[in-house]
Amino acid sequence: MTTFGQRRLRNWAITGMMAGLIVAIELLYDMSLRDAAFLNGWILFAGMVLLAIFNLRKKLNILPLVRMSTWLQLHIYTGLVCLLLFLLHTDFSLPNGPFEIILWILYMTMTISGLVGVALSRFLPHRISARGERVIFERIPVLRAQIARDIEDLAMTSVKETRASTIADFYVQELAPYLRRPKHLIGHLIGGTRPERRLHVAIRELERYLDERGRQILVEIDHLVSAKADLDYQYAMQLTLKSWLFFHLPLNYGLMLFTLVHIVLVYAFATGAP
Amino acid sequence: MKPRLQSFNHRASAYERPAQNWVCGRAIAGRPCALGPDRQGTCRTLAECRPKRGQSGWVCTRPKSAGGACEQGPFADGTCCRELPPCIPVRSLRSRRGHFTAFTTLVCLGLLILLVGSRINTDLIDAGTVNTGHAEVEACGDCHTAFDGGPVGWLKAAFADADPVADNEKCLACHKWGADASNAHTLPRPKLADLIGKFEQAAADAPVPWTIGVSRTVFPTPLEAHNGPLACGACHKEHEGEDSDLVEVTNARCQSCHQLTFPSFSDGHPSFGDYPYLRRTRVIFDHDSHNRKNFPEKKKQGVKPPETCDSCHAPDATGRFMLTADFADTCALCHAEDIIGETVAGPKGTPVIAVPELDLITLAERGIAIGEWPETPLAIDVSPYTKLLIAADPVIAEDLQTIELTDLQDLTEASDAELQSVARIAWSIKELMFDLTISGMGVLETQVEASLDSALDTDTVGRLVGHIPQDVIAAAGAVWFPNLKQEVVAYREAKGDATVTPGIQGDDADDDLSNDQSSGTTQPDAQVVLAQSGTIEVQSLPPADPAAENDALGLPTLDPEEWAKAGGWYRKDYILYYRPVGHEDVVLRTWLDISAQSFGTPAERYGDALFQLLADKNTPGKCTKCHSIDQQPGGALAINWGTFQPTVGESQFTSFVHSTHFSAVGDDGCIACHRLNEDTNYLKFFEQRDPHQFVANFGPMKREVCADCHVEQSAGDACTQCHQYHIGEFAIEGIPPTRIDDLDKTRPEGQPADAGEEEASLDANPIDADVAETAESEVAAEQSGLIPDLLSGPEEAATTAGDADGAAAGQSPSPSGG
Repeated sequence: MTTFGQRRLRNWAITGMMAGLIVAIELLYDMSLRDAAFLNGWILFAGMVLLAIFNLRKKLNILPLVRMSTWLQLHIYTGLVCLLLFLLHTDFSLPNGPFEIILWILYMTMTISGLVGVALSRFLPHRISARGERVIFERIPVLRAQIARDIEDLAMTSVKETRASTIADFYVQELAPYLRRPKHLIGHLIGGTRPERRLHVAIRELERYLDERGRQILVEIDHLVSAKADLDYQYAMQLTLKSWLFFHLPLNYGLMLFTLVHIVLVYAFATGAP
Repeated sequence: MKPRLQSFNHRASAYERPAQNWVCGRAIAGRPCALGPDRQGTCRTLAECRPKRGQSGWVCTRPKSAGGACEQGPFADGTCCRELPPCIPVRSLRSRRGHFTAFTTLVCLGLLILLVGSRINTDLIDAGTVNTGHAEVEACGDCHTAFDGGPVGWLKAAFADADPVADNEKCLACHKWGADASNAHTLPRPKLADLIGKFEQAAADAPVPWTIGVSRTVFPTPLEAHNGPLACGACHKEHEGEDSDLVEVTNARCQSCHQLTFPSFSDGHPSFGDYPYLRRTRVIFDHDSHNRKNFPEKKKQGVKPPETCDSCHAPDATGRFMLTADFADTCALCHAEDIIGETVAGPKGTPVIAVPELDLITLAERGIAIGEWPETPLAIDVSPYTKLLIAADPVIAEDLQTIELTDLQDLTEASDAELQSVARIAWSIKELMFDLTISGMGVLETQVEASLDSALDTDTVGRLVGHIPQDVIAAAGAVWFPNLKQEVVAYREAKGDATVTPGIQGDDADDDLSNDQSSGTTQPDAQVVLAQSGTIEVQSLPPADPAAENDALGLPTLDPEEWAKAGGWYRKDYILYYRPVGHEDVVLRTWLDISAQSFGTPAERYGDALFQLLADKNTPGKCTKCHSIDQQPGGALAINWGTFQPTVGESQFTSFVHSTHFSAVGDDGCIACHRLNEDTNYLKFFEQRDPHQFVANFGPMKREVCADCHVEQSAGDACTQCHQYHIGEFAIEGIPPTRIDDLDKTRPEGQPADAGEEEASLDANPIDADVAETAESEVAAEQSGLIPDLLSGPEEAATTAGDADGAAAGQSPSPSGG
C-alpha cells in the first residue's frame, strides 16, 4: 500500500526527472542549430492535449481507463511539467505581440486556475471536515428547507404554548430571511463567524422575555440556527470546490483554439527555422 | 446538541444524481420530487407517488424520505390523491458548467474568426516589437513572404513544404551580404568546402565535449548548415523587443557545425597561430632596432624620439584598429632629409633625361654620323627614363637590346651593327629633346604609353613630368645640342621622314629652336655637315660650362642641385634631374608605380631598369626604404604607399577592439599583449616580395593572455565576442540617389521658386535692395525705350531692344518669369 507521502515523493521525483530531461533535450536541440521553440512547443502541445483528455476521461467513467485518482495525479504533474515547457517556450518572459500576449495570459490563467484548484482540493476538505456535519452538496437545499420548516414549527408551537408572540415575531423578522437561502458564504470561506454570533446573541437576548417553555423552544431554535450556519459553511466550501472549474474548463478550450491558430501562424511565418 | 441532518438509510435518503443535466425545479426550495425531470429537462412528476395495485386495491407508494405512505391513499381509479403542479426543471451545476464552457469556447472561436479574418489581423497577429534596427519595417509582408496570402494563404503556407530560405530575399533587400549570403559564413561554396575540409582534418583526433557529442548523435546538425542555404532566421531571432540582441548566439550553436570543438575559450580553444600578423607590415619599420639603436642615438643628438606607443599609434574611429600616424607626425623627425636627398652621397635628384657619353672618336673614325654630340665629362649611360622614352620606336627598342652589353664610352671593338644602333639611339635622344620642346607632354605621353603598352591619363602624365616647364627642356636642348632643330630636321629629311614635326617644316629650319638666347652658345650652321648619304657626321662639342652660362646672364655661379634644394627640376652637366620635393612626392611615386606595374608584361624590360633605379634604397627619395614591395599575382609589383587601413565594409572572422581593452591592460600598456619577437630577422624578409613570408616584429597573441579575463564568469567567453559570422567584403549602403530638382518639392506650397530667396536677400541687405530697385526701374525703362543703350553700338542696341521686346512678349505671368 502506497502512502500519500510515498506517492507524493514518487510523483515529484518523476516530475523532476521529466523536467530535467526536457531541459536537457532543449539544450541538445538548440546546439544542433535548430530552433528549440519548435521542439518544446510541440511537446507542450502534446502535454496540453493530455491534460485536456482528463476531462474527457471524466465523462467516460464507464470505461476501464485507469483509475480517476491516477488520472488526476497525471493531470496535476503533467500540468507542472507543461508549465516548465511553457516558460521555456516563452523564454521566461512575456511575449511582445498582442496575439501571443493573449495566448500567454490564457495559458497562465489556465495554469493558475489549475494550481488554485489543486490547492483548494488539498485544503478545503480539511475545513469541510472541521465544522458541522459533512453533507452531500445536492442535499443541502433539502436540509436547509427541513431546518427552516423545523424552526417555523417551533415558532408556531411557541405561540400556542407560551401564548406569546416573542419567538414568532423574531422568527418573522430575523430568522425567516436567514433561513430562506444560504447566507454569509464569503464570510464562511474566510473563516468569519460574526453574523452567526450576532444571531445567537439576538436569540439569547430573547430569553428574558420568555417563560420556561419559551426558553426550551429557544434553545432548540438556537441549535437549528447553528445547524443552518454549518450547512451554509458546507455549501460555501463545496460550492467553491465545484466552481473553480468554471474558470479552468472554459479556459482550456479557448486556449486550445488560440494554440491551434498560433501553430498555423508560426509555421506560416517561420523564417526558415530548421 | 445539534440535530443530525442527514440520513444515509436507503429508505429515508433520496438518491442524488449530480451527473444528470436537469434537476427538479423544487429542489431549490428543498422539496424535490423523487423522480426528477427526464433527460430533456421535462417535468414528469404529476403527483407525489404512483400508486400500485395491491391485494385490497390501490396502495400509496410515496417513499419514506418524502414522508411515507399518505393517510388518504390513492383514489379509486388508481391516481395519487396528492397531485403536484409541474415544476420547471433547472440545469444541474455540472450542466451549467458545460454550457458555460461551450459558450466561452464559441465566443473564443468567433473572436478568432472575426479578428484573424478581419482587417485588424495585422495588428493582432503581430508577433511583437521588432528591434530598433528594423524600425522602418512597416508591414509583416516586408519580411514574411507568406503574409500577402492572407489567412487562407497562411493556412496553406503552414502546411506547405515551403522554401526555408524564401524570406532571405526580403532580408537581403536591405542587408547586402552579397551573392553568397545564404551560405554558411557568407562564404562562396568552394571556399567553404575548402575550410570544412581543413577543419575536419584538424579535428580528426580532437576530443569532442560530451554534450556536443550527444547533441550530434541525437539531433544531427541539419545538412543545410554545411551545404546551405541557411535561413537568416536560423540565427537571428526577431520580435523579441526593441532592445533585443539579434546577433546573440550560444557557443554551443557555433560548435554544432564546427568540427573542432572544445568546452570553453579557456579550455581547448585552438591557439591563435600567427594572429594578428597574417602578413608583413606595409611600411618597413623595425621596432626592435629603432628602440635599441636608432632612438638612443637620436637622443644623444638632441632629437626627442617617441617615448610611448601612442606617439605613433592611435585607434581608428571604431576603436578596433590601431592605426599609424602620418609620416609628418612620426618618421619625419629623422627621415625628412633622407627623402629630399640630403643624406644621399651622390646626386640629390634622379637623372631623368641624360646625354650619354659616347666614344665620339671611334664613331667618327668608323664614319658613323650622329651630328653634334657633347663631350660629357661623366661616364653617363643611357638612363632608364630615357630608354623608356625612346623605346616606343621598335627599331630603337631593338637597338637598345643590341647595345645592352656594349660599352658606349669605348666603341673600338663594337660591331658595325652596334655602331649603327648607337647612332640611331643618339639621334632618337636628339629627336626626343626636339619633340619634347616642340610638342610638349603629348610626346612623353605617347612614348610612355607605347613603351609600357598602357594608356595614361592626363593627370598621370602631369605627375610623371612633375609639370616641368617648356623652358627647362628647351634650355637643356639648347645647351646640349645647340643646333638641335636644324640637325633633327636635316636628319629626318635625310632619312625620308616627311613629317618632321607638326608646325616645323624644312623651310623653318633656320629658325632658332630654343628661343633662348641666354645660353650664349651659338654654333654656326656650317658646323652641321650633311653627308651626301643623308647622314650627319660626328661633331664633338666642348663640355658645357654652367659657369659660363651664368656669366652670360650676369648671375653668380650656383650649384643647380643646391638651387633646387626644395625639390623640383634642375639641369646639371648633361643630365636633367628631378629632385624630390619631400614625402609623398608624386613624380617619383608615379614613376615607381608605372614601372612596378610593367613587371610581368613585355614592358618589363624597360620598367625593370627604371624600377631598380628608383627602388634603390640609396636613390633620392628612398621610397622603398620604408615602403615595401609586394609581388602580385601575374607578376606585377605593388608598392605599399600607406600603412594598414581597414577596408570599409570588410568583415573579418576575428574582430578585436583595441579601445575596449585599454583599461584592462594596466600599467603594462601595449606590451601586455605585444611582446617583441625573439627572431630579429624582421628586415631580411623585406628583401623578397612575398608579403606572407615574414617575421613580425612582435610575437603572435597568446590565447592565455586573453583567457585571463575571458572566462564565462568575468569578461565572457562567447564565440561572438571575438568572431564574426558574416565574413567578406560587403557593400556599404550609399546615399540615396536624390535629384537636386526635387529640392523644389520641399518648398512650402504656393511659394514661387525664387521669391523666397529674393525677399530673403533683400531683407538681409538694404544695399542690395536699393540695387535691385534700381535694376527693376532700369528694366522697366528699357522696356519702355527711355534708355538708349549707351554702352553698345546701334546694332547691339537694336538687338537688345529686340530681346527686350521678345522677353516682354514671352514674359511669364509668374513673378519668377521676369
